Amino acid sequence: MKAALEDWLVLDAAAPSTDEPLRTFLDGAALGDLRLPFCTNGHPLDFDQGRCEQDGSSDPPVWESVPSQATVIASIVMHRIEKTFVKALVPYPVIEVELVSGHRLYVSTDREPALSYQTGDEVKLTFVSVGETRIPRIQVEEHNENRSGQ
Amino acid sequence: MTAAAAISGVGLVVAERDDFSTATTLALRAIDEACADAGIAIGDIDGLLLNHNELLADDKVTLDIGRQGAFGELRLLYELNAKGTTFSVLIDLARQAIAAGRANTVVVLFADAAMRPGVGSGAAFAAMGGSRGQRGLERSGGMLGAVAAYAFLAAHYLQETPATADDLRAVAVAQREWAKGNTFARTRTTLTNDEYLASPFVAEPLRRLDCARPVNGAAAVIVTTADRAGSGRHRAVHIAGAAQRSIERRRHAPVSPWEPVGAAEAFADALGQSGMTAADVNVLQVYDPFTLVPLILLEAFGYAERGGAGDFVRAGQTGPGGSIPTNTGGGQVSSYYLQGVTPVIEAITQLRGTGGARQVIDASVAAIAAVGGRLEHHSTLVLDLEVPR
Repeated sequence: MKAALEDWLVLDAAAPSTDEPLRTFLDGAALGDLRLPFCTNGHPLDFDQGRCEQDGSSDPPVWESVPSQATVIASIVMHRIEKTFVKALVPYPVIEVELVSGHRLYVSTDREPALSYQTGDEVKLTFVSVGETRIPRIQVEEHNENRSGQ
Repeated sequence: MTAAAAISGVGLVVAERDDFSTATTLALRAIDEACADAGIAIGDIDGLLLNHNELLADDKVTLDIGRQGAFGELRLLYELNAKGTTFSVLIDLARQAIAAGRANTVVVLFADAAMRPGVGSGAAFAAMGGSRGQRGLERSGGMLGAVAAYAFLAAHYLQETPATADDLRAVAVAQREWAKGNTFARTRTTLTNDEYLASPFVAEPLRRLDCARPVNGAAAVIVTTADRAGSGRHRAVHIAGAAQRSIERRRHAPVSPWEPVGAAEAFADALGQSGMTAADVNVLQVYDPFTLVPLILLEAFGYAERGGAGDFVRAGQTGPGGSIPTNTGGGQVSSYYLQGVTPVIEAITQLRGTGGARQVIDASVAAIAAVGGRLEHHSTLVLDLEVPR
């Protein structure tokens, strides 16, 4: 397992709580493993979802490792730098991605990106350290190599 | 719907920028104003419904207001949270309680004191959502405050409809024109195109002038029986209809649409309770934390085609003399942001005919469309000068 990068973007104050419903997700992330919840019949669930909307099952979720490949759904650029949580000195992207598993996440990048992200871009997630946690970020190098350029 | 209840009093306190009174202090001032407006005494109040304000960590009005305000024995006292729709929902619940004989004179109350000395509104709201669960994970991704979530909704809107970024500007400009006539508005000068375009991005595609203007303040609305409602300073404003919708906004496939699903149904249901349609509405007041929201609700309600609300606004249809005057006090974007209070107070103002320079001639039916969360929650409240049909 590679050591996670120290995050360039947010301060430790922005670290997510390791309590439920993120405990298993963050335990996996600490090991470099993207683990997300599914119902017992394999449908993706939200972190705090107690019943599957597709089949009505309400058993405890099954947490499975999922591939880190994702597709960009939409993106914004945050220009307001909130010093309580953000250490970056420049506008930064937040990107909505859909994983192969069907889960959607809002993530930023593992370093300051040179390019903007466009809907439909294929990206790969990695992890960075924020406080005592590791959280997912888009791997910028991977993204740049897979694009024709904007 | 029977003419069981009507609005008889309003108190609105919009604090000056250097007034950092507590939420409770602001609330009690608003209640006093509302009682004077309705021509009643504190002792006449037998119900108090509090708009839960989840945006504030520390300073908030609680059920202790009953003791703090020396209300004596109340037949109704509770706090409710339906996100941004709460204030409208509480007015309907007050109507229902009065219709059922459970109270005679109910105060619906909201107070907010999020602004503190030396802390900008952006910082005050950036911590919203906390560190737990989905929102906590989003925050660690740099997604701070409601502006980021609505920037994503705007990104989807601009990406998936014919709308353009200039449509956001059109709303900001149109609502500023209305704000010029509102003494409570934070800014009352014409908004030029250059001024808008010079406004910095907060969360692109949303600029500072696309965002609401948070203030400290409070509002109290008195709902009472229809026969009592005429004893105040102003005409009674009847509650003609109310409806809600809430939807799931899932974060996994099959994905939930980003659109305001349920808003149109709540709008039609509320109007239908008095046999009305959108064509009967004289003034439309929309909860507009960002300029995006009036655009998508005008489309949801059928006033404009999908992606066509910007053209509708640019054509002056939401302005003075337009086909559906909208956010006639400037809305939250150009006047003041007190969550669900802003559109309700403006609707009552218009129906009472006290809008001054911004008064819509012959306004008699107002629809208030409130939203909550990330457009998962919708409500419509219909107010009518006439006894509901």
